[in-house]
Amino acid sequence: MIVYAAEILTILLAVSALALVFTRDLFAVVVLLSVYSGLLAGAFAAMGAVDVAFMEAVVGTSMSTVFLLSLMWWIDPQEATRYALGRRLLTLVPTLGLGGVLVYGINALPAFGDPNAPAMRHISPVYAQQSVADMATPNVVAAVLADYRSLDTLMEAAVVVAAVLACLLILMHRDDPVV
Amino acid sequence: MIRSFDSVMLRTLLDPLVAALQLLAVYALLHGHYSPGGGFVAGILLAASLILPRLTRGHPTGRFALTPRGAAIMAAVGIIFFAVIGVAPMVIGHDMLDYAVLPLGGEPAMRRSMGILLIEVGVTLAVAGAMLSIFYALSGPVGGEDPDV
Repeated sequence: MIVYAAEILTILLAVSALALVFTRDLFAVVVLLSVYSGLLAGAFAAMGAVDVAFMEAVVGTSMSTVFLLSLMWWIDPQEATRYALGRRLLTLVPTLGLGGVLVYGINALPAFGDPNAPAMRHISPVYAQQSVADMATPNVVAAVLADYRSLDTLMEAAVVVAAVLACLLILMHRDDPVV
Repeated sequence: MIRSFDSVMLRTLLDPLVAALQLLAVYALLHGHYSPGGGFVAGILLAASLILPRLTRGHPTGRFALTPRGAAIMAAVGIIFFAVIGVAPMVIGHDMLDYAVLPLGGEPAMRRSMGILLIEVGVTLAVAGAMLSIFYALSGPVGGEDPDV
């Protein structure tokens, strides 16, 4: 059964995405987003990307849910804008267009786990073969993130802190703090 | 402002959950060389363990309660620590972020391994402080100081 784990999770992902579209209640939307992230983390894990799955599980499932729930404190969950039917139908055009392009692009992707995929033929094999000799780190993801590509990681962490500074500057000096 | 949510189950489960989260955070950080994990995940788990008591009790309690100011300082300390580790090899005339030239002991590979651990500690502090700061900014009456300790 484990063979079909990724397929089952993908179907459940589609179901929860559809449920998200048709849900009106904001609290339910936040919970459904958390469910969606949990299923996505499971799908990543089933396909062997365990580091990404761990990240998705902690960020998407827990942290962003807490943030969204905190956000609901600032707004009125009952206040919902329902756009006119024509406007909603209009949004179908770009949505279906983008979806069609993505489905069309599936054919150009290499098969899952293909060793001859472009991403596998450049420098990835070198990282996978050298990480234990270079830095005694069997987890290639950690080796790439923290050593081979550590400048990226430094800037990435700096971007996170910069985003937080922006968040604090916007929210911490409101003239009308809601009490 | 978040208020205390009166539930026996939540209050009873809170302490073991916080302990488990912090243990998992330390594991993700220290064992990141061998298993999934690393600084980002550890930072989020640490932040979650500090947010959970506030969500449950409505105010920060315990020894590890961080003020909003403390959280922002934690994020800044983390990123500065990472940057200092990165620039240190340049100061003694080598490439940026080349941990092998730092005096960390052992073979070059082990020195790089230790360097990875050091910068992961910086990332953990930066991410945990960042997530806590966002949470404080979103969740409470604001004004730059500690709301309701």
